[in-house]
Amino acid sequence: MSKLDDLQQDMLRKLIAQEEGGTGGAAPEKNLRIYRNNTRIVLRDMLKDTFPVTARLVGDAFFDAAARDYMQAFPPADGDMTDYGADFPAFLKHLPGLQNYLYVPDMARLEWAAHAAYLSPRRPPLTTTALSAAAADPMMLKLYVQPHVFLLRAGWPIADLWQKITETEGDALPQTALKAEESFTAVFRDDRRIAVWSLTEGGYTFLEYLQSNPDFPTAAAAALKAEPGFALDRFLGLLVQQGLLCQEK
Amino acid sequence: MTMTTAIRTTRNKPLDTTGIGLRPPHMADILAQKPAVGFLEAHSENYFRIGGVPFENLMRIRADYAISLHGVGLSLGAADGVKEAHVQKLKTLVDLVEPVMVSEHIAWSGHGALAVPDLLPLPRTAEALEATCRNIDRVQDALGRQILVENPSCYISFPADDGMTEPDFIIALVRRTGCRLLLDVNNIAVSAHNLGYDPLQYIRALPRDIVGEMHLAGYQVNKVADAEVRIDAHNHPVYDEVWALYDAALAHFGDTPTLVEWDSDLPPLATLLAEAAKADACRHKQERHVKAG
Repeated sequence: MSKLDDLQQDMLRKLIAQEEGGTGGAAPEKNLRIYRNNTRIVLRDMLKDTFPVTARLVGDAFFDAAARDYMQAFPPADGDMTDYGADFPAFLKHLPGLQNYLYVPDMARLEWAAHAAYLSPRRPPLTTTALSAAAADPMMLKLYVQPHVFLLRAGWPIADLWQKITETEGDALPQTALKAEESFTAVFRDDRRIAVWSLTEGGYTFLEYLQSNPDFPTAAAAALKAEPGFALDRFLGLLVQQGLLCQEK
Repeated sequence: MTMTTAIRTTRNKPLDTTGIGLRPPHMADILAQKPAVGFLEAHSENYFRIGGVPFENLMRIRADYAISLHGVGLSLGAADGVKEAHVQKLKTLVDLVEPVMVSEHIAWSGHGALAVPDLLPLPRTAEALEATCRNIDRVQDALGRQILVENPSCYISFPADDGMTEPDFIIALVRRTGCRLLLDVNNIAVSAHNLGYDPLQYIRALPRDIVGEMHLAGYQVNKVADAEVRIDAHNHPVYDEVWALYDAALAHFGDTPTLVEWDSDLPPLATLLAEAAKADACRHKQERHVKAG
């Protein structure tokens, strides 16, 4: 191990651990706190940008402390920090203090899906005409879901809550009595914005199957099994209208 | 170490112009108003997700403006080398955007499986010089073009410095790798104050032929343990002292494409454009001096 390796490892450890004081090692202590503070503040702000609704739900003080603990448990591994925060929803789930707010980790999952959707590409959408032509033989029909569509199954009605909070100006939170109930959500790009749909179990199952296998009959059968009476034709129409299906992978 | 052989300099066509940093909150205004500005500099890592919304916006802006790609996460000074995946993402972006310049920092931000969102200073040792040259060679080879590397802003110095000044270190980097220097004039003002050296002497110590671009920005003053430390915050108009240093740099290096950066407490686009116009005026004043001389 070279001197430069030693120095860089020591300095990174001190910055991530937020370690104060002369602990020896290769990194000079004087003014190191400037880098230490910057590391903490920039990473916290990155999380706040990615999880703004979560931050509003828990409040600044709690969020800042959670961001600091997260930085130490899951420090960034690479200079491309686009994926920083991927483990934050799961991390929140195990954080003491959120026992009475069990919907918060699910909300963070929704926000991570929104982040991922925002950074995902759009493929040329499947048109109604192309669908009609392809559907001449439904048993052979293959449907591909846009890469910017992300699905969530959660224990709370998070799509409704997300909608209400993003529509409420300022820091105030809408007064909502949240009841635990299974919910199915799709998060996707609507041009350059993010859209969130509440799905039924049939719609969720249909899209979930198509994401792993484009075979239409299999996905349709699974959707109808999950939700007998599921209005597949209507849902398919909505998907095409919104451009959420594409012609190929 | 030999100079990288695969460098193509033709795409680094000289820009006789002044630009501004491209920041997401200004994108809509830039697309709508199409302001007259020489070029726009984007932070490379923000556009690594090809096809995502930020990338789509950059490509729309690229239709009307010359783009420079300025990286913040390659960690050119990393003892264990640059991350190959990062280099490949940069190459993909560079191939699609075809920027007029590609730049990074003489700094490091990661080692092994740890990284921080900062530009950390290097000790000026033969070992650090060797590692940074090796990394610059790797990036230039992968991209097939010359890059520019930016002088750092520093809040600490290292006792282990091998008697090299920062200009000595930079000159060695440029000569050994064939890269060019992105001279950040604000960084000189920041480091000179924090580490106690003469900024004009720093500028004069650099050869006239190594600078390919200049950066201007505003710093912030913090009290740290009762001492005033200048922080490279990019959250303030360019200070008069930095304008004076910029004039001195133009006199020494000649006319150079220049960029005004602003990252925190972002002002309206018009404020940034006014700063760029001010830089333009300095460059033209300098040009008239040269012609008159």
